[in-house]
Amino acid sequence: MTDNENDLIRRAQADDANAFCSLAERYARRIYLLALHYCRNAQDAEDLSQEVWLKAYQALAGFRSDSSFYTWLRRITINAFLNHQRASSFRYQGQTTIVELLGADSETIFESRAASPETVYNKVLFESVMDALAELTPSQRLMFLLRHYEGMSYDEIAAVMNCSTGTVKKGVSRAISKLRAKLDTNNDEPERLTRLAAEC
Amino acid sequence: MHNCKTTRERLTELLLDDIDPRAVLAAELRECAECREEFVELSETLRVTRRLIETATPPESYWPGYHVRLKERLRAAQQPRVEPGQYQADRRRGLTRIFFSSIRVPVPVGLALILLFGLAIFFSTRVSVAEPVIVQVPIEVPVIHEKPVERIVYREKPSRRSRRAPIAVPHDSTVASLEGFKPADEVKLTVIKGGSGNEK
Repeated sequence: MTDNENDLIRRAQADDANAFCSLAERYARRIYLLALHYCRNAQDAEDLSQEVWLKAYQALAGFRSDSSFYTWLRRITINAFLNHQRASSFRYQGQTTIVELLGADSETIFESRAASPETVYNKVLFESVMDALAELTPSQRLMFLLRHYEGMSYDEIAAVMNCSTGTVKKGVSRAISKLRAKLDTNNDEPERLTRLAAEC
Repeated sequence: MHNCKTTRERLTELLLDDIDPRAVLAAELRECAECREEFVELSETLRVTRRLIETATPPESYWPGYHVRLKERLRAAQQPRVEPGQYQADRRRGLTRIFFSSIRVPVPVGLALILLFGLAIFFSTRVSVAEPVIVQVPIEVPVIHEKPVERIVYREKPSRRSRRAPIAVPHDSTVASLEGFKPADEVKLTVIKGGSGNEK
């Protein structure tokens, strides 16, 4: 944690909303990406990630610098995700289709709007990843994201999600199996890419 | 001794921890072709997935709007400062809120509560309408049997004198009249025909 970050935290704890927003700008992309892959919908991802920031703002007075700010924030994020999962279902439950990804929603996700072969390929891969994640339960999805994207250990995930290490291992293993099946290099990927490039 | 299952599990852990398995499991990968193939597929799957998760970021133009919306939500969530004179008004508002606020209840719980309430009302009304149970218990009631007693009372016929001077009747007249009285065995009866009132 840098001095600048410590200073921002102190000011935010003293009810300085601008200082808190500066903190949010540092980690917003990371939290947003977690939310996006967790709920698989851009609008839900924005709502959920902003809910995380609201909770963090309300709980900031309790932050004691025992851990890094991001570790503390990640715990709030996971709790917010789990509470959101219990309280309501996401508006988008089905599988992501390439039509939706190539529409307005995908433009908010991918930086390049040009339909270059690389972009199309990325979108196809993104669709495959989203389909694989859709076949998992929200908890398994979160376990995989925390293990693979956040680099947390099985024990850390088990502690924060209040389950056994074995359950986390099974969830991650199941996610990897699904992803391998979807991203299998022996599938009809080249044909799909040709078709999509022609559509674009 | 080489074990494919153990090696694959170890491969997954190393790849998830961003450690190159070729440095740790060099011997296993050299000896077993299946494990080598597993390593290639698994590392490719995780590499593509991570890249997609990291690159599926909204464009830079998205973030200013995101932070503006976040600031608005933070401002709305900030607790209003209570002025000294506002205490009573806030208290009244709080009481009003108690009576007019609503709580979120899951549908099954709500239905169960309604059912319980209905059953309670049904049984309470049923108990009040039910007829009382009649229990017949024989009770002995003392009855006074009246026995009529007949008594013949003989009274001495008062003479003319005595008629003039009324005999003093003792207090217990019935007992006095019976004492010493003996009915005659014979009655002499003289019948005078054609005589006047003074002839015998």
